[in-house]
Amino acid sequence: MKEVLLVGNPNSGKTTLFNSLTRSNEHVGNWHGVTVDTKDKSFFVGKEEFCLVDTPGLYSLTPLSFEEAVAVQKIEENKDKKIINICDQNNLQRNLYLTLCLLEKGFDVVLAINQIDKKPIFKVDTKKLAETLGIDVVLIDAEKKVGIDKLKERLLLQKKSPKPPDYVKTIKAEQIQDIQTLSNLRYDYIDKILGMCAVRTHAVYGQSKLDKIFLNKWLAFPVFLLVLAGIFYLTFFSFGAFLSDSLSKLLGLVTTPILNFIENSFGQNFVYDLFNVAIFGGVGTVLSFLPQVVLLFFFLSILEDSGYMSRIAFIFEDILGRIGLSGKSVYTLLMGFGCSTSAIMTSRNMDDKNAKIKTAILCPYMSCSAKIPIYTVIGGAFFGAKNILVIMGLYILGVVVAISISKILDITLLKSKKQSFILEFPPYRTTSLKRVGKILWKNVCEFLIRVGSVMVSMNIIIWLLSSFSFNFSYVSQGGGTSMLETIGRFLAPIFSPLGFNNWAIVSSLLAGLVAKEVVVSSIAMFNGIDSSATKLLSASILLPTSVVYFATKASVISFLVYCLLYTPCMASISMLLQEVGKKWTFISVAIQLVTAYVVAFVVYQICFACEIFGFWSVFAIILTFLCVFIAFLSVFLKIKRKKLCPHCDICKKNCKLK
Amino acid sequence: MITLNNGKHGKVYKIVGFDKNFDDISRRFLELGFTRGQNVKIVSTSLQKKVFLVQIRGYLLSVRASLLSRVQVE
Repeated sequence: MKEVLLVGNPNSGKTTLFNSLTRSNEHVGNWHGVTVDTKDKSFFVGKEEFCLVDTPGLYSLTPLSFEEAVAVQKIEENKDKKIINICDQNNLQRNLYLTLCLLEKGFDVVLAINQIDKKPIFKVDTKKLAETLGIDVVLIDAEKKVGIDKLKERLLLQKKSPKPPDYVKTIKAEQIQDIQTLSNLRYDYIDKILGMCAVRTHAVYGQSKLDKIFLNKWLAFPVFLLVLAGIFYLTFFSFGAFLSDSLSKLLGLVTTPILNFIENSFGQNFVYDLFNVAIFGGVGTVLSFLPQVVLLFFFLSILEDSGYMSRIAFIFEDILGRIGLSGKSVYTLLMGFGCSTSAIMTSRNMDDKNAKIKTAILCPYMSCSAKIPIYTVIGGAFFGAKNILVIMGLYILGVVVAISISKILDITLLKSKKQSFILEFPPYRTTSLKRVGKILWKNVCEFLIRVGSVMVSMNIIIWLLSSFSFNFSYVSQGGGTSMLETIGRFLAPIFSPLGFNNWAIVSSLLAGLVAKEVVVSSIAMFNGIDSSATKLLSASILLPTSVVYFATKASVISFLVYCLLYTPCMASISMLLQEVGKKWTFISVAIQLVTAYVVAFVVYQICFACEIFGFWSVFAIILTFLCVFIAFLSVFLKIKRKKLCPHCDICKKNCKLK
Repeated sequence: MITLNNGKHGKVYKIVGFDKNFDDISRRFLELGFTRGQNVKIVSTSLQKKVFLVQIRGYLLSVRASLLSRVQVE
């Protein structure tokens, strides 16, 4: 099987072409650095089979970041393979730079010019360009699959004898080492061939009138917050909540007859319990949140496709630079709201190693979509309509904790080195209906597979542990102490200072280490609530007779905070291991567990005090403490400043400026 | 001659070269089209002027201001 490499600048449409050629549904976006690793899949041209390899974006064959190094390594592995060099028609001048780098080294290149927009900036005479460069040139539209057959035909042709660009013949040996001269020669050559083979409009690639609002110094941040608030409102309330309720009712209609059949056939024994509690009860509850999870991914994808992500990175670079991150971290951190595991993987597009580790470590603090059922069910029970404020508060708390941890890491273990924030501005684009369909389908499939595999098996294990004792006798309905109860009761005192000294709550947190959705499904299982009743489940945790019972609002908030901050899932740990290594994964998990415990403890104590003394009294006490702390800090800094050198404020003695 | 990070919003400058400490970032600038004699325009800056949005060779690029100190312009 012949190998074909897909190579091109970032955001030129490589993965879109990969999807078109191999009929895949890999993640794409209108943003720099979406692809961070190589991926391959086979496809046929006639009867011949090829293996297509998609690579991360490149500007030249000299890598600067981790993902660029991966791509260059793949290119240089074997010089005989065919390379499809995809170029964005709107930014042809810069895209052809990489083409020349490939041609100089004698690679077998087919140039695919991707016509992303209807009115491209460059109009190209492909025939003339092919003659000038001495390679096959095909005009394609990777999204609409235009020109794909022509491109496939070119792959069947035998390798042409490599024809290096004209300037290579005239170049002197010493000039090859001088990158400044070489770059000038390459760009001069590009200007020359584009003058002959293309007509250029006066439009600037990426420029838009919308930027007067989105990049405005005073409007940029309010607009960003408004966009986020809109996404959360539509996902968790209004539309998302309506869809969840509808699905919940539908699931009830489906599962009730099945349960009735099992009850009639086997009676109410452990077989009935297995289906009612472990499978339909636990998994069904989480399944009803499918619409909210899919909606969140859908909105994140629209953000990615729109071109707004680069603008967000631009406006956040000032702030994130202060805590040792890069504006590029915004993409990874926003992805964290969807899924921590996939977000950690995207941290690879950082240029600085320390910034990469920091970004990966911070991802789990962005509240992922798997936590939505916990907030909705547990928070909804106590706060009703005001739960939107609690959920927004949790999201904000996650961000604040992430910022604090980043700052602490930046001044201790992971000091930021040189940060090379260079980011291209793509034009604003709208998402096609076809792509919307693909995103929805992909996320529905992933969620269902996850529910069908990890969660069913986990729920059955938890059900077994909670239904059988250590001597394997069936202990359902209070007939003895189950294995899980024994473990939970052993660990529960540790969580007593956090306000939830309940073995079942502690057991659900333990189960949540596998996947966060399991927290709610195990609570549903402990309380014996079936799939059709998320509202009933919410009501059950208020009843003192329930296995899982929260006595006060303070303990609920503390529980939600703990769920927000402790280790998200096993998958995220394995991804951290892959991206940052054993040492930093261990440190990261330790930070997560300690932070979750400490923050939940502080939040519980404050909320508990509010319940006893009233909100304003506690507010006044905290304010007084803060004022005293600030006063002490300023006095301390003043004394420390006096000890410093009067000439430069940095050194203490032997000042050069003396 | 000044470095590009000292440039003014909305002005067009001509690239003269790079500073003596030519490094990987300087090379990346060359690859992105910051070659000698090329015009570059400062389109926008962030709130604290730590990031610049520049227009070069017909496209837009946001760059941290400290990195632009490598680029000498007139």
